[in-house]
Amino acid sequence: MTVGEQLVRLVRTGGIAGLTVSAVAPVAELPPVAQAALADAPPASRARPAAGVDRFSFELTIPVGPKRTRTYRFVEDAVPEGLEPVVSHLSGHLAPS
Amino acid sequence: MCRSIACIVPPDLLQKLAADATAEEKRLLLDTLRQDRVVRQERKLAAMSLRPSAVAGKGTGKPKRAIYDQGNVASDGPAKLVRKEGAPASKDPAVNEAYDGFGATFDFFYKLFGWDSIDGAGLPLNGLVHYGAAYDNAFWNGRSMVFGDGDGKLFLRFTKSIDVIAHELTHGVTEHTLGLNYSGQSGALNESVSDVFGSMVKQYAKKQTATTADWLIGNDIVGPELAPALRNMKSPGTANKYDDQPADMSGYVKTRSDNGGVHTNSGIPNRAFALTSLAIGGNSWEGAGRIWWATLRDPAVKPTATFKQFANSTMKQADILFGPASAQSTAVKTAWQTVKVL
Repeated sequence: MTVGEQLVRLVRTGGIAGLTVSAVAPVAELPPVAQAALADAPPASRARPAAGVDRFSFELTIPVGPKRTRTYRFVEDAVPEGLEPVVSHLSGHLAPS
Repeated sequence: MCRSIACIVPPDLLQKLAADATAEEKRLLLDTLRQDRVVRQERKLAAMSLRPSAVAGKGTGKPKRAIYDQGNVASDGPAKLVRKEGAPASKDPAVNEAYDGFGATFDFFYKLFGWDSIDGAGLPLNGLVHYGAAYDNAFWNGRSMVFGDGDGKLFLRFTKSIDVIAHELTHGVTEHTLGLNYSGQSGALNESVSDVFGSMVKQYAKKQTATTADWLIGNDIVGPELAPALRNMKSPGTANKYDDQPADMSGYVKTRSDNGGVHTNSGIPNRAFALTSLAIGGNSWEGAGRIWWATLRDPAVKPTATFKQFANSTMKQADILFGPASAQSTAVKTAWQTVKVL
């Protein structure tokens, strides 16, 4: 990562362990399908509660301009429509933070 | 218990003594008799809450287990039925671990507390194994207990730990008893109750006393990155290098994450239970376990219960079950004081 790079960040909390894990990646290093998803990102909406307990909760922060970001808060079975490729890619790189 | 002579003198003898007593003796004896009636009534109510027939009466006392293989798909509706009640063991260890873990947990609740399955009325126990791809979690979705296989680094397959299986099943029991809201202090109590009964199921299965138990949660399902365990009930905050559970209220974590830190602050009531069990000694399910179970059946505890409200109920249940001057009552109060809830 270099200064000025646009980054996407995924933070996962909850689960039976209650362990916080996160992943950060430069937009330029995302797979093309994930970059395309960011270009069509939906507006952030109010998160609904998870069905059940010990479920994961997520916070996804994406760039929406040179100096602006947008944060989505959602539970694991309610990934914002269209952003699945971004979440899927970053989920494979989560590590305790 | 001995808060009055009523604990050893039968009520009819007290009445006979009162007939020949002076006015002052008569007043004292009648007062004792009144106290005795209250204590006996409380004991009767406590016993009723623990008796199988009084719990629901609709169940059979036999588990109805069904284990489904989700085929590594992240769908929490039952997929392929691979083992049902009474069927022989599978070649798949995850299937057998879930089946056996449900059986051990069912037996624990039924034999010790007369509670038949999740709802007290024989609800079928559905387990979904191999959920998702390298999925690092287990959860209760309100209908089934769902288990991932883990990524091999942070977690191994979640059915390997009997306390994890019992933890998830207990979430169902809590839903059907206190219905603790999954947020803030009530959410942390919800999590703690699952750890408390998860740990007791493990101790019961392994024939461990409070002293010989390890008080660890999930030590069989953590991978090399998270070893040696998920949580340490006796010593919160020491289970692994990422463990941030507080040991008392001075470290209570205020956060929006994880429904208000339900898996973090649960360390406080977890420790209260472990300390109570250790102070009482013997098998945890015979002392602290009975008190915590009676608390789960206490209608005075609301879904929004705070730590203090829950603690007050445990102290009330200890008084009813064992007597206000008992070692058990003292142990409960001291434990909640140690974790600075009182």
